[in-house]
Amino acid sequence: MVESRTRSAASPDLPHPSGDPRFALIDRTLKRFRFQQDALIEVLHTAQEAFGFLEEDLLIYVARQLKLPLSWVYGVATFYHFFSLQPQGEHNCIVCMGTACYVKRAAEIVAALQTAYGIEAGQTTPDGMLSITAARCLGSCGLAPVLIVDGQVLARETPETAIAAVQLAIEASAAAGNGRSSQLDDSYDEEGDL
Amino acid sequence: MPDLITITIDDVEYKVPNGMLLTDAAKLINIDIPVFCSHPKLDPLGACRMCLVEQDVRGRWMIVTACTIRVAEGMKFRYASPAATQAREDTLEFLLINHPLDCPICDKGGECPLQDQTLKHGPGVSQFQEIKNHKAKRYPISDLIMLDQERCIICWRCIRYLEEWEDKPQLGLFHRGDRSVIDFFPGQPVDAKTSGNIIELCPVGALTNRVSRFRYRPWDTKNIDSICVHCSQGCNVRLDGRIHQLRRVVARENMAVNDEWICDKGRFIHAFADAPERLTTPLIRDHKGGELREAGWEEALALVAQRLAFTADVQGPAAVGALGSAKLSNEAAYLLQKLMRGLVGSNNVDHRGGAAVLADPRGLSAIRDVEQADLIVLAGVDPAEEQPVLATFIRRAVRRRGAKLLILHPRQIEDTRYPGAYLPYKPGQEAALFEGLSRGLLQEARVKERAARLAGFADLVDGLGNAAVDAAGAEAVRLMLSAQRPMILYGPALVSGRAAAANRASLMNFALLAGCVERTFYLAPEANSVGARDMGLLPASLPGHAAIGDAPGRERLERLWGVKLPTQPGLGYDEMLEAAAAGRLRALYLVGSDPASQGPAGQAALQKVDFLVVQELFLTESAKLADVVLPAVSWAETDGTFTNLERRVQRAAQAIANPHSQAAPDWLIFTEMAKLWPAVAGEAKAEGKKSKRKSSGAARQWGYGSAAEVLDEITRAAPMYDKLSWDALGDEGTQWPLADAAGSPLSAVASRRLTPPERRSVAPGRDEYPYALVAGQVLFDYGTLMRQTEVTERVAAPVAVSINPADAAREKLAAGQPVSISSAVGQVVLPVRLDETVQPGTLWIPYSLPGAPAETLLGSVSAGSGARVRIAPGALSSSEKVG
Ligand code: SF4
Ligand code: SF4
Ligand code: FES
Ligand code: FES
Repeated sequence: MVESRTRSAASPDLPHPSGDPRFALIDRTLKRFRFQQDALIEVLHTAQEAFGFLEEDLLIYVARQLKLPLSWVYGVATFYHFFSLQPQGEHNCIVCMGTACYVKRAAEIVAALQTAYGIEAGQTTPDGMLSITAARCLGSCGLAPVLIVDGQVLARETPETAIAAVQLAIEASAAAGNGRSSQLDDSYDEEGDL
Repeated sequence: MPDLITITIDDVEYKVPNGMLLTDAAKLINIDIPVFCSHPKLDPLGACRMCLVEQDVRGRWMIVTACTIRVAEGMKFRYASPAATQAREDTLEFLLINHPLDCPICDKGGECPLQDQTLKHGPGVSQFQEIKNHKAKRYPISDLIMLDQERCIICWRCIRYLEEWEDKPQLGLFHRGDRSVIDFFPGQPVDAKTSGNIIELCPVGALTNRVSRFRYRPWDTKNIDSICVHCSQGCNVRLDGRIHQLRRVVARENMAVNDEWICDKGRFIHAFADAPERLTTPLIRDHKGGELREAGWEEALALVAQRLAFTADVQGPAAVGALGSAKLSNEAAYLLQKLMRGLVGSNNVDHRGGAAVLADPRGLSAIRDVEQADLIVLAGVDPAEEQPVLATFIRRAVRRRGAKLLILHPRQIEDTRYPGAYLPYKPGQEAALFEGLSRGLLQEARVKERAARLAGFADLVDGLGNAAVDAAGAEAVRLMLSAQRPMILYGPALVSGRAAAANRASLMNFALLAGCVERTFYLAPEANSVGARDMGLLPASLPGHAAIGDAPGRERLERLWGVKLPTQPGLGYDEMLEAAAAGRLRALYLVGSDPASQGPAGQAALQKVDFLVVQELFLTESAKLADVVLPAVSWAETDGTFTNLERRVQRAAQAIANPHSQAAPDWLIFTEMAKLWPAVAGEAKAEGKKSKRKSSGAARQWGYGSAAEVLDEITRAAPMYDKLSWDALGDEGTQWPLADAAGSPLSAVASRRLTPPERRSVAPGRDEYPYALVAGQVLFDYGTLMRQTEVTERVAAPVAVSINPADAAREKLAAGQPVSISSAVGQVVLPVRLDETVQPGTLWIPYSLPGAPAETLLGSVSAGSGARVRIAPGALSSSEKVG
């Protein structure tokens, strides 16, 4: 079935049939923005925070509610690095590979992390502890090369300091015995990167 | 006259129309600014940066995109300046950084704007030494289209076409930067009915045609202008042939007919023209029960002529009949009826296998009129499946001009997603539905006042009664009354079958009351539905719509053909089959029609005739029963003209020829047969001992040397075709006039008379058959033509019966489960498909599935889709397996 902006979909107020309470969070954001289509990014933000990543089912739900074509919603979700379409590890390390960081050898940082944890950028370790992501410019070129570990921006990194920072984050949570780390800081402005 | 303004390009002043896009304005003065994303049929976007020029913005020269700037008085640009040239060169260099070196194997190579632009504007060398990005290279975005993401230059044309014309935004741009790719949402590939147009729009070889892939090189094909013959729209196409084969079909612009689009059936379904199963030689069965054997033309033609003449002589001309088809060209249709009338002496000719008997022969006023309407009523027609290009025009009217749609259809067709109203009905309820709407209209004082002047008003009011109008009906009436330029389009489903007359009358009453009868049009289904009628391939009317009983019209043709014509109307399609079954029709000539594939009744009728001739492309079900099979050629292998749903007569020129086949064009077969007539008619006379006819004079009138010569005679036989000779038709065809001065029977169509509703006995709800069968046309049916390639077979309609999920739950049926469906006349077994667009209480089976399940249940196609059926779980045993 093809979605269309003009499609008179089921009434937007219908809650998600699964009854999963996390959908209520999405519904709240939808209502706050009065189902306006340009609130898509905010709604996806809420969805990502509630679920940790954007499953297809979630994207379909958002598209229905906002009466947007699926292809648009998917386009937006894949455009911004904040959004993740796969389950993320408990810890998250984003390496900037934008021009400034690249020139300052960010590639070596990525390579070092990949060797250290045995996964490619964009993947999560099999134990679900760590995801490594390579991003385009994060908008802090003055601090190049830039790393974000569990939402914390780290400046002027080297392969060694990067691995140390990641290790620290993993060990800290293991010591504290608490499972989930926070997601990225909300104030992080993806729009700055065009 | 648009107001002209002055702009400056490279220090030269030009006068150009105000507000035009700079790229277009530049073209007028022969400056060819290169573009990729910009396209005359798509909204400007400015995505690719190929068109960069410099503009003087308050004294500073800035780089801007020419494709998004609308020119205004005094604007100054530089196109050839070093900065502008450099900017375009840089754009190309960037585009080529990650572009693969595929040209030698790329379908687009040779007609690729990226190649051309690179040659003309590119840097010539690349500074890039790193490794190119790799993306998906053979990535199907649908069963019909292959995407190579590496070749894509992200111009957004494909995305925009699906959004702006199809209103199905199924493709999107995902990810970003140099990782950007065109893709669809997981699990939801492109299924738009005109999706193939994005292949042509794509300025590189990123989107390719899965039927034609690697089968042509653009410089190596012989390209012939033709038209598409899959539906009545008659979209203009170009046929690209190579070594006797049809390698590719592309669209050709004709603003009046198809803009520059064609649908996927027109683009992808053409393998039948080259199919190895095509008949290549005449076949003869020497005695009933024997096998068909190969024969030469002379033997076959002589046998046919002799047997037809003999039967006519001995049993009387009325014992001979011919069933043509609305797919035949004008030339073939004309000669078939001329042969039957002039030589055999029988009016038993028809072409309407199941098609509307009572439809308005004029068709649409003009195709693009739909774009001007503010309310379009779709009555029993689903343009998205039946005329997909027309459907895109309707969607444009909705999206761009705010038109509303009032849809009356047994299925909740796709376009019911648009603003307006949807009134579902079950087959058999059509007339009642329109009567309800008429009652609603009459509640309005101004309608009543206006209608009171029409003949038949009192009887109508009487007959309509005063039952209440339901809410949906009231909404439909409100839409109708508030529309300024409403247009009613109805399809064959509404005017075929037993209730055709009542349906049509109630529709016309409604149209008259709404003051919309002049804007009520019939959407003919087949490529030459209109032409076949114009040519007189009908039992009661002659070429040019002269009635058989109309002496002056008949005499005119008698003079032209040099014969005496039979004066009694002949038998229609169904009547001929009935007469055959009853033994009254002894010889039958099928040209492009296949009654045996329309269920057991047709088969039985054909088995009864003494002599059956089938003139066909393939060994169809009917051909398997024939005594003589004559191999005909497809539209691509001969010249012919077709008249589309807006009465536009268009040429389809020969594009290919198969040197290994003896198959011949219909017009030539008829001509050669006619030449044998004097001899066989004499023989028949000797054998039959009594001659009723003298036809040697007539046969002398058959000296056609080409299809164009047949058309020349048509221009004399059918007054509305006057002057429409092959050369005069040109590349874009010519419409014959809607209003004809000669006062032809066509004017009777727009009669301003109200018809009192028929008293219908309300059929008691028979529990024995609780469901109404809805059968209808889908674009990708499962007919012979679809089965020619694997690619196209994959998109064919699923062989299944569709049922509303609520009904399925009540009947305890699961998707995929085999069920047996039975009507009073037949039984079939099909797997179940759940479909919310199917109304509760109905079952939906498209026509032309393998094994003809819909046709079997209906008994005869012309019964219309109204059969009552029941459904029960049933096993697919191998013997009754359908398909
Ligand atoms: S798209 Fe054009 S430039 Fe690219 S490989 Fe194909 S022919 Fe060559
Ligand atoms: S696939 Fe073709 S039409 Fe679509 S964006 Fe890429 S280059 Fe343009
Ligand atoms: S390139 Fe890394 S922050 Fe801009
Ligand atoms: S053609 Fe102007 S930006 Fe693409």
